[in-house]
Amino acid sequence: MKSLLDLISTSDFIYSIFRVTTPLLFASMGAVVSDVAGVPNISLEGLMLIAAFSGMFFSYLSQSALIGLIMALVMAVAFSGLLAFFTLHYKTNIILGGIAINSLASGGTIFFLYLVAHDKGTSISLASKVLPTINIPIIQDLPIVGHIISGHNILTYLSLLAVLFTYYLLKKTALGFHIRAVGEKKEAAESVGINVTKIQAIAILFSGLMCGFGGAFMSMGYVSWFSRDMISGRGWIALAAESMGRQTVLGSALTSFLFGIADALSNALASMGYSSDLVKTIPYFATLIGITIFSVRIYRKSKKIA
Amino acid sequence: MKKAFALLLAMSLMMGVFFTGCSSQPNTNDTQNAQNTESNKSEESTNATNTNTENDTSDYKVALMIPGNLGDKSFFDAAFNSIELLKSELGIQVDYVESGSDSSKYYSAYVDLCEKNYDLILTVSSNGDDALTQIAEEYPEQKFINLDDTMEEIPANVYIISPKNNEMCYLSGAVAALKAKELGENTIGFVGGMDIPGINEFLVGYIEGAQQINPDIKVAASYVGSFTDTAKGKENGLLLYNSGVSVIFAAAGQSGLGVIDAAVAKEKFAIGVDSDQAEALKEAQPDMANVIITSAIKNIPQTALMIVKKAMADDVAYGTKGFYGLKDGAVGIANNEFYQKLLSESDRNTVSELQAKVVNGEATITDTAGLTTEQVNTIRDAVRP
Repeated sequence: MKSLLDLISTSDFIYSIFRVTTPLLFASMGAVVSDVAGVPNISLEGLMLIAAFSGMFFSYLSQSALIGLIMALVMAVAFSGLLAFFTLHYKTNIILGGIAINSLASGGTIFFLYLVAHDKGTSISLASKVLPTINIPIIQDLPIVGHIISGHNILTYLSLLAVLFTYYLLKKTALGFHIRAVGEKKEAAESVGINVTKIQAIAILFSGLMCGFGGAFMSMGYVSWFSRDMISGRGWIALAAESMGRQTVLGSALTSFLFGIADALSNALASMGYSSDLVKTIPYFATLIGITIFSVRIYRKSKKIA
Repeated sequence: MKKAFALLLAMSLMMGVFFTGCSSQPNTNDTQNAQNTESNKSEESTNATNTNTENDTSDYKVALMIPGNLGDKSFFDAAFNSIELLKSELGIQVDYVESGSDSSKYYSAYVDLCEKNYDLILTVSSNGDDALTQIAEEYPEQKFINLDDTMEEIPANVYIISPKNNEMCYLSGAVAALKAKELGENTIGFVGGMDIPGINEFLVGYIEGAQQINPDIKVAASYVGSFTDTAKGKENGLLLYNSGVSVIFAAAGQSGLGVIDAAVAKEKFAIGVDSDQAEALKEAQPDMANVIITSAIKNIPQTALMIVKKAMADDVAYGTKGFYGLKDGAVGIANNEFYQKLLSESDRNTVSELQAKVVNGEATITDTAGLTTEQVNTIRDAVRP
């Protein structure tokens, strides 16, 4: 047990939490905004996969990480636009649309991967670019703290800014108020002249943008290639984090970190020889405990009111 | 609204069919693609006009059923490579099916093959064992050979080849321990795909090989829990490297690429698995190839060639299992420029001596077939750092 404490109190471990949490943070922010607007986007997984592929592919074509990132964002937004179009214009069920995008992304990215890399597993034969890591001046020279805070991928810092931005967006801006109003009661919002379709479209596109960042991080930061189904359920975990965070920005961000910590912990425990089958359940066990605590509190509150 | 919904549904279905159709097109590169189409064509023409184009043996038809996805730069790709070898060495016709990771599709893939009157159906891996057992009973006249499996209850028309994975891992363990010794360290690492018997076989061989070099060696073992999550593979690799390990044997399929990437990031070393990974990566990712000391290789194409020759001569004992190891050339480690660069000559000689011992049968290696989970745990815990 001593060695476990040694392991998780190292700066490497804490550093790894940020890395593991980054894609979850982006995706859960996307989930919050779309859910608050009343159009729950469940295609986070697929959108991230599309972004991961696009980032890899366009950075390979252009040999520029920036163009790769931009194209990852463009493609993820474009596909979320497709979802918005069917949902809002043709009134399709957004859950079905989300499922369609997820299946399309899984098969489609492999198809295009084979076209460009002649390989159905990884894009490792294409020399794609990665986004830079940032060393923060002064802080990087601090002992321990410097090692934890400095030296992350640029998208890791952006993911923290994305949380602040989303918070500001929903709490302080007119657009945020409109998004919340539309999600709360569509008809009421419409009656005061809010364009519901437009607001919901913006919310879905915003979730696409966030998935673009998350996907780009996977193929251009975490590792330097695209591999089939590389998101490996991170989009779904972000959805769980969002619903456990009860559609609030800070709650979702915190739960994302909770999942990140649980995931990093399960990796660390596996490397220490604890039964890996058991430790892989830690993130899900954490969810269960979180939901239980939350439900108990709600229950007590409602009893008090009664 | 209903119309629009139906439209979307139809579209997504169509796309689904379109893309799965494409992704199950069983090709990994262009030349093989072209040759495969050719062989399909020649199959049609053979059926129609009964003319043989190549030589006497070309009426012998073999099919390879791949219960997994090509492109893993590892196990299934190695199986795929046997097709070319069989064609060029024996001049026979070889077709193949790539059935992906959905095990519900294996049975129907087998039925299709059985209805096409192949002389022999090859397969690899234990993924399709259930389907194989079922189909072997339903088509008792059809012969099957699994090139890499450990199946216990073997139907009368199935022959199982069990490569002695522990022998190649024995040598990998020796290589890792020699590298650690050179760096003045006492611990080596292992990252497995999952905590399952098939992977622990690798671990046991690895540990025993390392102990030949350094009896007090410690082996830190970790499991990704997935053969495809490269990011998580990297996370596992980083953790072990951060804990002070310098050499990791990555027996984790595609996830192993993450371990190799971690080695690049930490300027440490890795040992690849199944195919010569340094050779596969050296063109596109020289940084990654440069940290791979060697790879534990299953020589599936050579094994396939050997057994198909025997099958053509009717010399295969169906209903049994054969173990093939270093001596038969079925397994080994990669000897390439990176091996020569990253390991000193005297160390390489030590490995060669060990290899000779294994071939002579002088080395004592635990037989991993049928090793229980408890026994694996005992071996694993004894060397845990």
